[in-house]
Amino acid sequence: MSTLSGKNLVKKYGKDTVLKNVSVDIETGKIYGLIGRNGAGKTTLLSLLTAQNPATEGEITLDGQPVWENEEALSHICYSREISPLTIFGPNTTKVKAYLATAKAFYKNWDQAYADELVKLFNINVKKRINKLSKGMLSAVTIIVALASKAEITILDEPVAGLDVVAREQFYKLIIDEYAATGRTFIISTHIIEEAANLFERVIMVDDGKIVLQENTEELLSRAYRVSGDSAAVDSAVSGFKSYNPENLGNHKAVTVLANEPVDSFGESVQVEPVQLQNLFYAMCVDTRKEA
Amino acid sequence: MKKSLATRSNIYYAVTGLKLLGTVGACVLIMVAEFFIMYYGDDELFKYQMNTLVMLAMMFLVMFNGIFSLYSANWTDSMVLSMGARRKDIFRGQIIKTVVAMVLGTGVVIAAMYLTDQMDHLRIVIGMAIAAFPISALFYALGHKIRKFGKMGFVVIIMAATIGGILFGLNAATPGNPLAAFVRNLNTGAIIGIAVVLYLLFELWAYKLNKKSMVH
Amino acid sequence: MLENLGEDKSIYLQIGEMIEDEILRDILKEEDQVPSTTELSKYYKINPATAAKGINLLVDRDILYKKRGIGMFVQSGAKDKIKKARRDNFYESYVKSIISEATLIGISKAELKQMLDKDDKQKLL
Repeated sequence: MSTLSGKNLVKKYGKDTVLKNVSVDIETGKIYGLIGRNGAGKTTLLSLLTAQNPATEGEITLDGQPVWENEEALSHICYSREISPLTIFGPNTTKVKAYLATAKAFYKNWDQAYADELVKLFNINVKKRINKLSKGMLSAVTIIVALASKAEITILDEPVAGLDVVAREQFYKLIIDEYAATGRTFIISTHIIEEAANLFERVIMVDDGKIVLQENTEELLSRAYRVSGDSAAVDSAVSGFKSYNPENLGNHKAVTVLANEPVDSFGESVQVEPVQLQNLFYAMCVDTRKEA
Repeated sequence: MKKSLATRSNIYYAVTGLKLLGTVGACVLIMVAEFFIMYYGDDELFKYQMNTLVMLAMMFLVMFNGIFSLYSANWTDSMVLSMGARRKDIFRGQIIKTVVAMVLGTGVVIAAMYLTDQMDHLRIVIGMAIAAFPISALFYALGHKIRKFGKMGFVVIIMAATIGGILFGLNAATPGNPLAAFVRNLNTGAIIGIAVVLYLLFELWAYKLNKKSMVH
Repeated sequence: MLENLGEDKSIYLQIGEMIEDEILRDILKEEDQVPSTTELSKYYKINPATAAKGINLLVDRDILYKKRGIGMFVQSGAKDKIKKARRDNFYESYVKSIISEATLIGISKAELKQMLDKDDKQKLL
């Protein structure tokens, strides 16, 4: 097993600090979910981990070897990003065919047969130019590049943005198939958390340039609860625990709790329910910003 | 056994150089067809036009090479970086692309000149070929710099380069033109010297910018 | 098989329970092959490791066994093992909540007994 590590990463764009002393470890052989609000720093973190952008401070290593400009390390990584239909000069007129051919040249383990299969599956016309593709097709192309790269650590940034529900289901099945067959590591950064939550063995939550948590999804959820009931009863039941996103309805109150360990009981006077990943994420993020 | 990243990268950029040639070749062929239709039979005029054609061909070559460099700093670099290329592969690749395009392209032009008895312009053609190198490096560096200006920056540079190039090329081709005479009389050594110095300067600038390149 | 995974329990546990249900209902008989972890994970859109965890739990309890190179099969005697395990849990899992709800709304033991006797189809032995 290998580990892709980022230690004490800081990234500044001018005066703006986008990543504030972030440390993360990615172990191979797992499917990771990377969740966070827009602008939280997910894409920046991924850029740094894959040496696509330089870190202002901090180290990125794969098995102890720095990733920056390192052929060996880079050959194990694929970070397939959203392709922009616009370049500085105007529309991006690169043909899909050329884009895929470039991928073939640079990804060491590129599987052309698999790429062709996926092109057919997603019904892409490879002669089309990138600026003429629909959002869904653009997403499909980034997915094709990610999968056909056959890279040991494959990262997808918002892969399902623009895909309709049928294509999204297709995508999840492709990931499961490929993971089951090869054990490749996938890191999927997404907003559509609930659909994909069951795929993530580990989840990394980013908020405002910091990593809020990185753990095994199931263990995390086994310590998350939604405690509800009479306001006073709830308050006393959850005292001593970290609670988020209090919701009030008259005398009734509900609060999301994330304990350090699974809790046997909160007492008889309150109702306790498990929390889904998306709702936990919402509760934790909403709370930080003190939004309505 | 899969080739190393450096090798695959070199091949990719060499092919880019060939594609560049193809683009230039297409433009030139159109002009050739036009010229042949218009001027074949009138020997004096024909020779003069062939002259112009050769100059224009070289100019297109140098110009397109520059444009490809400009474009690379903005899109191709980003695409290739995002696919695992190293910055040094990209830097080396720029040089390879220019070498492939200029050597082969100039070779074809010289062959054409030989066949149409214009070898007296050889110095100018070779001069332009040499000039392509610092121009390519300059445009690559400029490409990085104009990112902030967006489309306008690109348009301005292209227009400036095109106008400058056309003026220079046509003037240099016209016999009797003072610029042509000046260019012809320049010491070969001086030309090469200046070109090399400029080339090294621009490449250094390009190298520094390349080292910091990011995926956009 | 249960169509949707519930929110209330760990997924791997649900996978295990669903297979047990099928065994109890004779949909999966002894020595039958059980769907592979890949098939299960695709069907439910879950991580294959989670499906594997659910299956392995059943292997540990001698409900399923592995035929190398072929797949997972139902152990003979599995049905009885599942019945016994569920028996032990029956009070905790079902009866306790009936008592709790009945207490809440004031249903007496006698009324509960009457309700049980409504079982005219003789489902209960």
